[in-house]
Amino acid sequence: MNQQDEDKKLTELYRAANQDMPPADLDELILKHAKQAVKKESKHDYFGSGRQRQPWLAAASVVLLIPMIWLLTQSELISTESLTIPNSENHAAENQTKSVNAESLTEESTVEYKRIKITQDNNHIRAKPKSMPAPVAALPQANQEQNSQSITGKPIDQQSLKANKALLMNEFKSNKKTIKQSHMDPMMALELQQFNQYLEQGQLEKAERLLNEMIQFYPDFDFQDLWSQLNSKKSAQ
Amino acid sequence: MPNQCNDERLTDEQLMFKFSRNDDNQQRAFELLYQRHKGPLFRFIKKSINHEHDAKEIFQELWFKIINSKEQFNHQQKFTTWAYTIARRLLIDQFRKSGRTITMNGLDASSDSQANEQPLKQPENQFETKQMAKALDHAISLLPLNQRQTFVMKHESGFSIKEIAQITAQPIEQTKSQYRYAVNKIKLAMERFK
Repeated sequence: MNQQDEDKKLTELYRAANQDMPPADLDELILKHAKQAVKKESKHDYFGSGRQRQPWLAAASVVLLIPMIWLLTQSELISTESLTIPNSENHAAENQTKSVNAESLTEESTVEYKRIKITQDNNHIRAKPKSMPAPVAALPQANQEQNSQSITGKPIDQQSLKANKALLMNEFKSNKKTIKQSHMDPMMALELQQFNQYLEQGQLEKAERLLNEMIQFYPDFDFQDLWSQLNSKKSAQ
Repeated sequence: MPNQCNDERLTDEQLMFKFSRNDDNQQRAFELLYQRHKGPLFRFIKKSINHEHDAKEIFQELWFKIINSKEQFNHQQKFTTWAYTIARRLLIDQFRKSGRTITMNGLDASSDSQANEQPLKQPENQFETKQMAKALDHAISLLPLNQRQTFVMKHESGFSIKEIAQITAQPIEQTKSQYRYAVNKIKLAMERFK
């Protein structure tokens, strides 16, 4: 009989005599301990630990990110914002009935609004407006109509315009300074002295030319007295 | 339950791996592992200590240690080698606590008995088998601790001499000698069945 056969026979005999098992209460106690250890771990780290947590986190990130990305793309597509742009056709019609000075143009440009789409291009938001009437192009037409229409759209009364112009002139005139040595600068004083010299010498043409220059250069002064002197000299000759 | 069927086919090491990580079958993996090894480990402890109550305590402590140290289990190692190593250490601690004299290393004085070359008798019937088994059990209980443990590990759990040497942290040759002496003594004790 070789060693293997003998070992086999011993094993059979050993197992025939030894079938002892731990008592059932001990089994229960050990299995309960294992269960508690498992529960404790689950409580301690619900999402697992270390490497085991990574799939959880990745899944959670995906779940959170997908709706966010979807919302962002949707808002980019749908998001339109009301921007004010003028409607050129209506604008032209408005121009026919209303005065076209600068103020009215800016007011009327906000009469009609259209929706335009906002697109995001890298970091820039661009809103491409539809055709907008150029204010510069509208201005010559406005200048032409200015001669015939008032701000209310009614025809202008030329006589009242002239009267108003005269009133305005008087208004300007009344505010002009009288010619005195204390008011004028040294250059004007020299020119006034020259004017008087021309008058004394009877050189009325030179005096008149100089007076016109003085009126041009010193518009704030009232040259009415000088004109009166020149005219009286002319009539005396 | 396809998962349970698959679990039953898993090796001890795979079950221990499942138990050590947090998955749904964690508890199931442990239960299977316990069912497989509770008997052999309990008998190994009981045979080693020859004391029913102490054996139960050590057995409980052993499994508590396995549960609590599952993270430390090296999955390249055999589960049985790991479990028997822990069991043996617990036994040594128990012997020290109780003040029992043990000869863990070397061979005791009775080990130099003459080698018995006579083969064991094949039992003729079931009655004789039971009688021989009883005699064998008694002979094992009389062996020195190291020889007893070596013999039990060999025939209870089917460990090779090399594995027993690894568990008992002894040289292979010494383990081989221990086993040979144990067998000779058992044969002598069973001579009456020839």
